[in-house]
Amino acid sequence: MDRREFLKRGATLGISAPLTAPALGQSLSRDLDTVTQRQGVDIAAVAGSDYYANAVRAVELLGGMGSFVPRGATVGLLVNSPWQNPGTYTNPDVSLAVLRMCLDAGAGDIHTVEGASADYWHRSTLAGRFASEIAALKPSGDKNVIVEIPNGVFLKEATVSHAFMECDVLIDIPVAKDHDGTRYTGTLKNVMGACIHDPTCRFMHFGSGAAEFYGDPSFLSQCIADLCLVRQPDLCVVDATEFVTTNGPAGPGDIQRPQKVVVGTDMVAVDAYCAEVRGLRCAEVDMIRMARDHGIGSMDIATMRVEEETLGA
Amino acid sequence: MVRKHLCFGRGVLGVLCWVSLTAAPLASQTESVLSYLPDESLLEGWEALGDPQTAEGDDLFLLINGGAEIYNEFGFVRAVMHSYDKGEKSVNLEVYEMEDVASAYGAYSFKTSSGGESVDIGSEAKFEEYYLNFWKGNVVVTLIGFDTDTETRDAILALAKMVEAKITAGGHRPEIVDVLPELSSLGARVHPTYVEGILGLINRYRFRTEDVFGFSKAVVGEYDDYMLFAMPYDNTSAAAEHFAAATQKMSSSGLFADVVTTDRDFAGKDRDGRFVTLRLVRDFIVAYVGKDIDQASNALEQLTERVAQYPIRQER
Repeated sequence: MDRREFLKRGATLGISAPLTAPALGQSLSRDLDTVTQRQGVDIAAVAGSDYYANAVRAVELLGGMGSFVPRGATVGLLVNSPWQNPGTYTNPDVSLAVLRMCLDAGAGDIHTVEGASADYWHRSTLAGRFASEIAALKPSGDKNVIVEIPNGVFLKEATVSHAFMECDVLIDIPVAKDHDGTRYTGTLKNVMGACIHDPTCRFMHFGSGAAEFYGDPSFLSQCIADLCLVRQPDLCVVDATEFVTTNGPAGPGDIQRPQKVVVGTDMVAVDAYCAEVRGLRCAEVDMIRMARDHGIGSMDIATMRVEEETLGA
Repeated sequence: MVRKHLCFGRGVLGVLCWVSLTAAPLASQTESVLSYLPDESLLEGWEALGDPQTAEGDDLFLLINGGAEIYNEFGFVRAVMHSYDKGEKSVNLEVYEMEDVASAYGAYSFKTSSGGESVDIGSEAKFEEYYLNFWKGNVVVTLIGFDTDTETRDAILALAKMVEAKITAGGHRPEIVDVLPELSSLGARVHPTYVEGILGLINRYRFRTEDVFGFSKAVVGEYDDYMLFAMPYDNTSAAAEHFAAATQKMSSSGLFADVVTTDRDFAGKDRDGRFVTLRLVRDFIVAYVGKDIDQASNALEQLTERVAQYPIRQER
């Protein structure tokens, strides 16, 4: 029984029948025959003033979108899009590049896991050029599933978007910004976008008895690491082009402009790399260390093959 | 920490139910913030986009999600947000009505930095690259442009003046802020941040992620290459009690090396090699975080002198 069939059966049981994270957590797409050979690069970071081009080149350095998206596969895009202020949301040029590359790779349906408003896409000057691609995006819908997380330290089950679990290929597209509660937002924190507020996100904020939203940052960070056991993305495309370094997550705040798009498959490694771009030591960011401790990935960037390029230089 | 707001732990659904059950009185209260909105017809070529969005109490989370928490920590009452555009140009206006003047100043000081350009609007208006913050009375105002063009900047300034004219409240920043050593005495630039909870504190420096100080207010001075902290308590015994508890937790946290403690002093080195020194001074805990041990001694001495002059039990 493959994951899609398993999900269909699970769905017929309704959300009262929890799924177990490990059964679903490893992406089917990694085993699909159509996946082409990658080039041995762990992290690709491409800088330049054309953020669309940076994203395309960074994915190319990892073997191209065809390495991740088999023809006909359903794709879930987890974009950090709900925010309004500059440097607080994923630059839509980066998201559009991912969307276009998925279509070029022959993707089937492409869903936005968290939903993304028309207003979000139209902040890009490329929105007109890609109007048909944007129109083809499918919303995530209201359907959710409960997933058990047996190895979670605090978070033992989560209610997540069905689209998050259902898609063959999950692409995590966060912005590498400051965050009052967790210091940093990246691939790990962005997975909270796949959850509905009540009960999962509410538990993550208040489950330890904290009186405030960020009253217990260590508990929240551990819950984020636990949540990431449910399913890790097949590809992470991080917008490190322009992001707030103060007053995150909502901003406005000071903006740092490394003009980089960072791509990898190991969300811990990608977050560790981006946290340092942001000026933090990755060990200082609890959720990165906790996700490493779960075996989700490695923080040891020094042992990895990192390709860095600057376009137009 | 003194909680100044309703707990969000009831969740969004709870908030929605509560909002719907109390819609009539809430609507009239919330609508009062609409009075801060400018008459955009006075701004040539700019138009308001759609209806303004308002929030009261915990429903600020529905508008700005986790961004709401810092306002709640300071004591948020209600807010209005509205966008204005002119062709491709756009400006967002956010007006937050806070519980009191200290809350508004605190939110303002948290949101601003030592950079930016001072502007003569409200109290301490500051233009930082693409956005402007000011506070006046119990209201804190933010205007955000989506580019840095002159036309957008002019619109931000014009809108800010219109909003300021509609704020009738007044007041002065908390006097505790003045306990920080003067710029001239330390030859450095200072940005004061007034905080009323752990979220404000840990976003300046993480002594620990939980509140080891049991404080209700503090002022943080960010100088060029170091920070000073001052936390007042109700009396000397409360300060001593919290100092002992805090230094014990910090000593055992594993976060600091070369720790030396006495009943009035704590010194250690954090993982970034910064010296962290705490001192019990009368009814205050004061602290230094920076790279230079001689600087630590000098700065902490000056802060100690300032604290000693600070009236006991004022503003507590």
